[in-house]
Amino acid sequence: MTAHWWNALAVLPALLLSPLLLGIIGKTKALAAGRKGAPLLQPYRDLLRLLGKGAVYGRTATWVFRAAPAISLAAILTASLMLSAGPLAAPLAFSGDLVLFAYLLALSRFALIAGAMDTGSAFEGMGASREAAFSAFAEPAFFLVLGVLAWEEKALSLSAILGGADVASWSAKIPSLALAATALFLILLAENSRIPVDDPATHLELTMIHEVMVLDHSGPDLAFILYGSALKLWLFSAVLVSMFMFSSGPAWVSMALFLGGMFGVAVLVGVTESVMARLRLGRVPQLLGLAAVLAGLAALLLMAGGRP
Amino acid sequence: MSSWVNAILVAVLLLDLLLSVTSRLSVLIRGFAVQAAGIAFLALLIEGFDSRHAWIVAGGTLALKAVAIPYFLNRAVIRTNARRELEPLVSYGTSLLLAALGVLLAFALAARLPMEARRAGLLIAAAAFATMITGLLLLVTRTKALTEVVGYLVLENGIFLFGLTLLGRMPLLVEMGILLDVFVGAFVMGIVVYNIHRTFDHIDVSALTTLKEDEP
Repeated sequence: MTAHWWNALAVLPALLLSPLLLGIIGKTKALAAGRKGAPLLQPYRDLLRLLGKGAVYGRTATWVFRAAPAISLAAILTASLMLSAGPLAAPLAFSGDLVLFAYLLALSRFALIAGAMDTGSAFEGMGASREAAFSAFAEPAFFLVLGVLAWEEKALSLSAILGGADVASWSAKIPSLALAATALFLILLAENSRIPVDDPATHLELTMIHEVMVLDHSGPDLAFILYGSALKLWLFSAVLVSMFMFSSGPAWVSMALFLGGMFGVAVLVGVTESVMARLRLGRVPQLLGLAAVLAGLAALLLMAGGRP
Repeated sequence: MSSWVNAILVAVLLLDLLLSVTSRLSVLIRGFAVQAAGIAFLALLIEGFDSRHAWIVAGGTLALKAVAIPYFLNRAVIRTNARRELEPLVSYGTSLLLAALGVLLAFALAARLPMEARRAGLLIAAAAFATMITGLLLLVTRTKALTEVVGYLVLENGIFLFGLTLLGRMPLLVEMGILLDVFVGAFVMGIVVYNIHRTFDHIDVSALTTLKEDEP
């Protein structure tokens, strides 16, 4: 993995296209429900509108509340440096960066949780505690998935364990890879507060998780948070798609495959949201437990595959 | 071809997990049927498509376990009006964990088998053990009579799968005998379940330990 100046371009697709994923999910849901739906570019317009507004701060809120959106977005942006985008190699890669990746995302969530607790609102505290609880359940499953990938490629760097698939070893790997991908998809839904875990479109504070946590934020702060969650969705989808990327082939084919895969994941999330109802809160840990079990099974298959 | 075998075996393992967590009887029955169909196809794949013996075994398994038995069980579900298993002895979360532990145990067991017993590969023996353990789990932890029937059938799926690894060619007569036994077993159980339902208004087997009717 040589360092070229154009490697810095790898973050561009994430920076530019991540709100589009939200647009695609919204459009898919609208089409599935027989509505026309908001235009695909609506998330961009929302972001621009919010950036043009001023922010309102409560009297109990301190600097923690003001710093939370910026810290959260900065952590996610740093994490996005570690992922390659199709043919473009990641700008930042070193052995062990997958741990940093996971905990930068955790840092971003911690900032938001701290900000939510700082408002002194009961609703936000409730949302924060739920978010913290569910992320605690998602974390072991996520590390199991990363562990499976790391074991498979015998490397500890995200760019090394993703996108290295070749045709020869493809068929031997596909059972464990498919299991790990299913587990990762469940984690993606949970981490990005999508439907079986959380309903991003709900209007009832009592049933919200992520949305209730950011109720008090307004203006540019809210724009940071929305953009951050779009980026986070992009990152998780990118890990999911890169698991299946081939390393060979011309650059434009690989780029097209990557972007097609990303939009495919968004459509898949939209379809999942259309066909499923939100799970009861008590059943969410079961779903994440299932993700962990699937990832564990993938690891088991991988280990068994090495034996005669 | 080997990747097809592996794909089916992974599907069998996943279905084991599904069977251990679902509370809906219709999902349970459908899961069992799909698993049986997959195993029937596996018999064809392993023995080769030109063997007449394999066609008969696979066809018999498919017709009885994937079509006839699920049909009778579904009828029993409709007639007894028991769509969900509401009070398992172990919660569904724990039951998933137990099934996952079962899969681990199955892999450990399969790795310890003598070489000739896992001629067809480690994964198939592991899947066989995992399916048997799941069947046992269903038998032990559920209280509805119908779920226990399915547990017994899943157990039999595992045994059939293990037969594939161990012998490759089980005598046709033996296999047909087993299939007939399973079919008659499921058929009789269907009738028994219906009769339990008619007499007691429910099919909860934990209530069957009381002998006298007037006792609660």
